[in-house]
Amino acid sequence: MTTPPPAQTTATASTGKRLQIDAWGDLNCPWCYIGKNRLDQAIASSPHAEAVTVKVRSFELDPHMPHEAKPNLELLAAKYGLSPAEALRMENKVAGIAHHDGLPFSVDRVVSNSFDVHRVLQLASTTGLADQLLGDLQRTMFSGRANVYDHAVLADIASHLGIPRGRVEAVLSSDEYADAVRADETEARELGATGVPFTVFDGRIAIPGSTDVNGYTNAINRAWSSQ
Amino acid sequence: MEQPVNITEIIPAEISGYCDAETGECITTETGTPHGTPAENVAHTDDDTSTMPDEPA
Repeated sequence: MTTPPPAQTTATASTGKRLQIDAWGDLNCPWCYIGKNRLDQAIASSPHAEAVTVKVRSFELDPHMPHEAKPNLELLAAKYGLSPAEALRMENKVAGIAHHDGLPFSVDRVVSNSFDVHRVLQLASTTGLADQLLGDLQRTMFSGRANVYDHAVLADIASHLGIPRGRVEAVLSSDEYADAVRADETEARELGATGVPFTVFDGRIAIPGSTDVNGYTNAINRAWSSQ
Repeated sequence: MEQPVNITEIIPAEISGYCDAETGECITTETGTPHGTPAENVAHTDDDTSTMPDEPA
């Protein structure tokens, strides 16, 4: 994250203002991946960057997705009755946008049920590492480098960030944080979220869906100035 | 310090895309890649109509 100019940092520190951004999303959602990258850019370029906290919130797009990892193109074709060429065309459209944003995006990645990932992200939230973990998981998954739904891989990535591997494994071998995941999902629905990403600035100002960097910048500025 | 969420305003931002919570479909509304993205990365965006389902969650 870009370090804000010293004068701005001093001003922020003197006012004591903070800005929380609640970001609902799902690992399986490509627009959450693209949107997070754009939001991160908006935060990094904000003079208030050091005063911003992103709270990762859980939302499963498909709670009934099998826990067995499957090739995304295969799943896409089966779900919508598409030919392999049609499935690839749809993937390439989003891949082009991700690549334009400088993000790795492989059409050959695997996808799976994201519930356990959400539970580990909830664990990471307790130590302020959820946003960083989500970014690492998104890049690994969308680049096609690894099956991040695999518990061993998930534990590797989380422990690499400093989250105790034993705690990750304990969460994955239990139903710990299941209630927290479902509470986030219930709250999103109560707030009227009809899709993800769903981003709320300062608890008041919402952007449903992914926008561009300027859109996120405007929301940060509006939330900051109207506190 | 965490705060409760009580939305009072929806930003009328131009939405690039989202994944629908009901169907799981991911919708792309952003068209084109205006700054010279390599052609292989933008395959098939010529027929990029707004609200076409892209891929499942």
